[in-house]
Amino acid sequence: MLAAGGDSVSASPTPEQITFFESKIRPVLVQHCYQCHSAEALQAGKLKASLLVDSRDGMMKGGESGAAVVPGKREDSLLIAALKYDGFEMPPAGKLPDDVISDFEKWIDMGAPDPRDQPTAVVDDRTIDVEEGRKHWSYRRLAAVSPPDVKQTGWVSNDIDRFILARQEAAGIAPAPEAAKATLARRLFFDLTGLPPTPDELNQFLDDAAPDAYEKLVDRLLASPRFGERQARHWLDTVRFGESGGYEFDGDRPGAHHYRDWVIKALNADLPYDDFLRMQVAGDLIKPGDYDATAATGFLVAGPYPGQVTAKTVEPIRYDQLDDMVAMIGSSVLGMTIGCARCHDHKYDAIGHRDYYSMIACLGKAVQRDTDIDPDPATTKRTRDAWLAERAPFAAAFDRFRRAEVPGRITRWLAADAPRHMAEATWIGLDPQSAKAAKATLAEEADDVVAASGKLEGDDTYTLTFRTYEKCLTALRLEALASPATPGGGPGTGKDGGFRLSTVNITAAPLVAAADRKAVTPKLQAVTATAEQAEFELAKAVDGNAATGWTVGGEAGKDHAAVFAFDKPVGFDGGTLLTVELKFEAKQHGLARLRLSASTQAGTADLASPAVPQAGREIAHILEMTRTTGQSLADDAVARDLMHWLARFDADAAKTIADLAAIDAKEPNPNLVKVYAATNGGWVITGNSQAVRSGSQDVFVLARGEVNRKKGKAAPGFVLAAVATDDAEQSLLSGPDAKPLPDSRLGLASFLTDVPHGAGPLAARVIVNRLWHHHFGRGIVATPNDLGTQGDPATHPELLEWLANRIVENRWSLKSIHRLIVTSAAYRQSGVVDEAHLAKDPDNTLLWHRRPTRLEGEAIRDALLAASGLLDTRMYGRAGLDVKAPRRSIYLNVKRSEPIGFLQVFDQPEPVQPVGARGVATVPTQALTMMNSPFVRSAAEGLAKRVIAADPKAGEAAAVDSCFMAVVSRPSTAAEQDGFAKLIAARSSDGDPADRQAALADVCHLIFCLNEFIYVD
Amino acid sequence: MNTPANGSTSRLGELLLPTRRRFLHDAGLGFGGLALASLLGEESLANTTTQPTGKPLPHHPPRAKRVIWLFMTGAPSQVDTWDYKPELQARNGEPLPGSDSQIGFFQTSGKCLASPFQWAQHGHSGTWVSDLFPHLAKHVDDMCFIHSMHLRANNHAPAAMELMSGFSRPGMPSMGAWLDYGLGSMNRDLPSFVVMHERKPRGDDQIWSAGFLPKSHQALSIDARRSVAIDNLALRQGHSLGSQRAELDLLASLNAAHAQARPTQADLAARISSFELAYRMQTAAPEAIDLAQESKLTHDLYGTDDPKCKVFAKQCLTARRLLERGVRFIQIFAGKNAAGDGAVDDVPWDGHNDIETNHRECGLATDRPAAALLADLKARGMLEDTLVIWGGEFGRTSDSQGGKGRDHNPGGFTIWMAGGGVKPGYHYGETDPFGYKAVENKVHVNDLHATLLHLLGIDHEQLTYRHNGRNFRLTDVGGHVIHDVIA
Repeated sequence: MLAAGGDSVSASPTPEQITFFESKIRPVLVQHCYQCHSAEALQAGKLKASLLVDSRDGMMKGGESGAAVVPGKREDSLLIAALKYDGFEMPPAGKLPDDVISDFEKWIDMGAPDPRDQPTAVVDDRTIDVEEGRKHWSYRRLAAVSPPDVKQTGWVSNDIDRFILARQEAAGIAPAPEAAKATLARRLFFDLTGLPPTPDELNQFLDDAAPDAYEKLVDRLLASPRFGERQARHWLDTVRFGESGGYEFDGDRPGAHHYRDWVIKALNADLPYDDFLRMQVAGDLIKPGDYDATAATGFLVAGPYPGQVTAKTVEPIRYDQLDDMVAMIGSSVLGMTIGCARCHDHKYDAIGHRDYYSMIACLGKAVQRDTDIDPDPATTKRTRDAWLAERAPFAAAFDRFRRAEVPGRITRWLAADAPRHMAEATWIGLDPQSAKAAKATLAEEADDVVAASGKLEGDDTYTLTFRTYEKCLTALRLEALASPATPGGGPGTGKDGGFRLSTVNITAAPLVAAADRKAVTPKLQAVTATAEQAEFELAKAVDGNAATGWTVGGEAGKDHAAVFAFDKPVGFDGGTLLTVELKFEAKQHGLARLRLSASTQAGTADLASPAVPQAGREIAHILEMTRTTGQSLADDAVARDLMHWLARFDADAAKTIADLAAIDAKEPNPNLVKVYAATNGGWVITGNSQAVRSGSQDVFVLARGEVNRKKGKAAPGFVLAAVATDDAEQSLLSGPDAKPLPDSRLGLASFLTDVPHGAGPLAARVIVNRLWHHHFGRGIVATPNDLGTQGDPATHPELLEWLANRIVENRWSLKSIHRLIVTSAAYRQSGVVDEAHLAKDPDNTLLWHRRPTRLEGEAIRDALLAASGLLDTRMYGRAGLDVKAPRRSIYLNVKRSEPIGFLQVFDQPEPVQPVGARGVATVPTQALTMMNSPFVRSAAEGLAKRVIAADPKAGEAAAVDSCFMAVVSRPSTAAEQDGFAKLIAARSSDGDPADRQAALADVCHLIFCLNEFIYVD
Repeated sequence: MNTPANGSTSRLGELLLPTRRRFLHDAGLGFGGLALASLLGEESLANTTTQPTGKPLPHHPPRAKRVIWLFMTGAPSQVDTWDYKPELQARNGEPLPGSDSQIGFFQTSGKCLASPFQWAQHGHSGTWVSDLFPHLAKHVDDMCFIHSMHLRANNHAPAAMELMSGFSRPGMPSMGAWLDYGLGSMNRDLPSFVVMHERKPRGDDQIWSAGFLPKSHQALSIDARRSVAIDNLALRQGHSLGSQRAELDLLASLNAAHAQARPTQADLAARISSFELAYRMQTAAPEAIDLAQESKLTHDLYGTDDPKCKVFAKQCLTARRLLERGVRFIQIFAGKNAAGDGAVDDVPWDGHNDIETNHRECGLATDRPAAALLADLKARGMLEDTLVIWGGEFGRTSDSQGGKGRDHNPGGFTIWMAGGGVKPGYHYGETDPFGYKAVENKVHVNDLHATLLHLLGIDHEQLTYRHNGRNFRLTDVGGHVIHDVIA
């Protein structure tokens, strides 16, 4: 057959090949493909998938999905896949016969010889019209709007009402009267704080006859910490917040709640909404290291990600992750369905395939990570300052001693004591500078002895370090000492006093770095030991085998020793750091007490002679060095060094050092917490089985969203139709100095919030519509996540525009918009229905009365806790997964595989996609929950108990009234009294107080089942 | 309940009729069947006159009324169960032709691993079955095999989501939710979509999610590990049905008074009805899952006493009782594997280390109950309009992983169906001679879904739900009905 390969057509096809093409290939293309994939189709506006198959170039270039034909590679040729109905199905009218398909395969194997060398028509594969897109109402720049004139000016409370009333007047409809005060209070409490008013709060409002009593209540509730908790829940819905990974294993993200806490805090503080967005998109870049700014970026990475990743899945998963981020930003911030443009231009809105990849290119470096961060650096600094103040006198005493005392004391010591301590000896006792074990606790006793305590059984590794100026160390002696304090009596930590030393390693490193000084690890040779068990000789400790080691057999309970020789002497000019590692492996035991000494005498096998402490010799070495260098004994470094060793002989020096060390040990550490948030970095996945690192942060444009169809690197940018002009895209990616921003994620933050040039107008319209939605049960646009052409049209477009202008003018204050909305007369209407109006506007589009809205699961649960008196109002942190935990629902964990039944049954959305308007379904499992769940019962019992405790002598009628007040903010009616009286009578015939409380709990339970409880007027 | 609607309310109710169902009216008449039917059919297309497509459901006469899906969690190997490949058997240890580095999740050897099981032909259809399934082998003439299944995801959770919802990511409605949305309920006191599991399969509730559909279509999941099968069915301490009845009567009268003053809020009446339905569920649901009512013969057939398979046996028997009572869609996720072999409880068929030990154990745990279910449905005349589906989330590699195991393989695998309008004793599609990739008549998940919906009387392109600016389908933008498998 003919050679294929390469990536171009063989220069000149043979006549046989041309014949094959003309007889087997071209006719099929003409008959089945040209209709949709030719220059003619392009002209007729019938071109599909930007693919032309009427020229060689067109075939090679391919369409939206990549090359149709790869010569010689039938596997990579989409044309073959399409003919085989594998992925694509072409021609759509029906699969071609197998022999035709195999002709095409043969033809590609030949190298796809194709004589059609006319140039390909140019396809502009952009199907959207950006300029046209900029004219869509929600993409436009903000326009000034004046509130319309109305006739019934007396009804108008603020300008919102003019927009509402004008439409009503035009339709011949009039607003409902204002709701009763108690109704308003209940509505306002739930809308702003998600909790019912307590009877006291209610009465305080009812008793306030001031004309601005309502406005004062609004301000009080806006200032309540409960406000942020309520509003944060709405925002978390729109950003698919969860605290676990979802997918397989659903790994917990214990640091994810910091984001939720930040949202609550930000909303309570009325952080301007543009800053609120900026921090969530790029807080880690705007204020590096800042707890709040870091936590805010939890926004980007709160989505579900697979918990098991291998080399084969890392790339598609990364693109899915970027898709999660960009689709969420689109829905939550912009009311745009950007996710629809992953595979192709958006079918309806002006969102290009290119825009999608430009947006994710801005996010290309952002990855999820747990960052250790100090949530309260101010306190940390205060604590540290206090510690420094406490430390100062000890540090001063140390410095004074070092400067004023050390030279004199050294001189006196040399004269009086030195000879005794500097005698020549075989062994120099090594004074440990540090001693640590993997399991046991090691502590230094007198005379350089190290003793183990704590976790003593089984394998362990001891690491001891020493400093010395000795230069010619040739041997090491290990003393394994009896240990009356440990169960086996030592020297080992085993119950029988046994140990097995399996490995000894020594490293000698220079204290003062220099080019010719390199750390060395002398090879050890076993010289001798006081006892060796057969098969467990000393040599087994240095044979490199973890499974073998030195033991002393039946000689436990006594002191032992062993000597190891170095293959070459160790010791550096300027001093040496010796690290000795003793390993006790193979499930054997360590040493209970030990001491190490070193020798400068080559070939020593001395096991028994006492060692001299190293301190004296070290002082001598230092003095010797100062004579060479000419340094003074009062020199800081020299004096400090001398003081260190002098302490062995001088109690004052030892105390001064110890006092300072004691306070240094109390150095306060910042109280770091792990914050799950976004950060820039290579994408590192540590799934369970195969950790995968993908260093690449480049984002490629993917044909049809498939990772094996890359079409070149994507440049950072935005949804062009949401940018004021094409040129503004680059300026949004630049700083004030017109230079490119250090990170395009900062550009994304600008794009989202910039009103004159970016998508700020959209962000404003989307958020005011969300606030409206939550206060009226339906947005001005009823699809809060979609203000595009496929979303619902605005019922009051001018009002929406006016509110968008207000939030921008009010420096993006969310509370100012809340206040505007809830103080409007429109909001304060009652539910009274006028039949004539109903005929004109059955859906209440014109908002001429109030319709009850059902509380969300979280609010129902919180209200149950509040009414029962069980509610714990502590803020922040993690409250776990137990529905009975008395914290507000927002603090319950959001674990993707374990939704909390109570909340789920009341329409809590799955935390995987942004949700702007929750569903409100009525299902029997809700009724079962209210009737039978232990949680609701405990709330009923709590309320009954509370009511009786508050007034034990109250009659039944008063008690029932109190229950009604706590749950539905009104006393009971006569009919209700009557019904409940019968119920109570049936339950508590003999007047037993326990019966009475149980009967009242039944009453409370039934009140909780009232529609009135969960449908707020 | 006797709260006759006054004139004004009726008038209002009529005004609301064009867009709302007459809940309030129904409530006023007492809790009649219409209210309940409406409640149950809330948001379901079958009971409304306004559909996006205008086409009433079902779109055509259904062949199947209900579905039971025996989900072989962890993914059984096609070449060790129903897809016999002599070529693979003959070339054990030799390089696997066409070995593809993109197939699999971890790393495989590229060398053929012959099936360690004994194979024989069964039934008139001469179907090859490995000796994992001595009981099911007797039913091959009722089964319709698709040997050419394939999907995209190559790990358990995404693949299970893809198989259930058509998308390999969470948040999309699963087939059971779509059916409940499309067809409503066939019963009055039980849910319509039930999931049974022991340890939850990997991916958890996300696999059977109602996604963006209203929560009324979510599955009821019955966890075999729990003593209480369904939450909050049990009356609270000290309560009797009688005392509860008295309370509910009082509640109904209070709620009715409240609703009467708020005539534009249809939900209020729906909620009133929901308490009545809940009241009935308290007795109906425990009865439906009470296996003590089954004969010893039936218990023996399923193997509810056999320690090897009793969990799955009880699940299958419970499922049959639920199907009889009008539950439309049931999925049983086969539970833990006693032998282990590296397969964790949430993916019992996941034979990465040793396919023989792993699959042997899984066969013992599922074969007898599954066969019993087929026999039982058939004996009761229910197999005709009950569609039984057997399969896992993907297949396994024909080359070995770590010597004796097999890795994930979404490129080709087998499922079988029985009853409900499919061709009995029929084989559709083929993998290559090594069982590695589907090559002939490939069936994607979208195609399977299109076919299943078709059998249930639904045109998969017409069952849509508007979400985030577009009409979504179970089959997204794909799916062809495989008419060849329909009897």
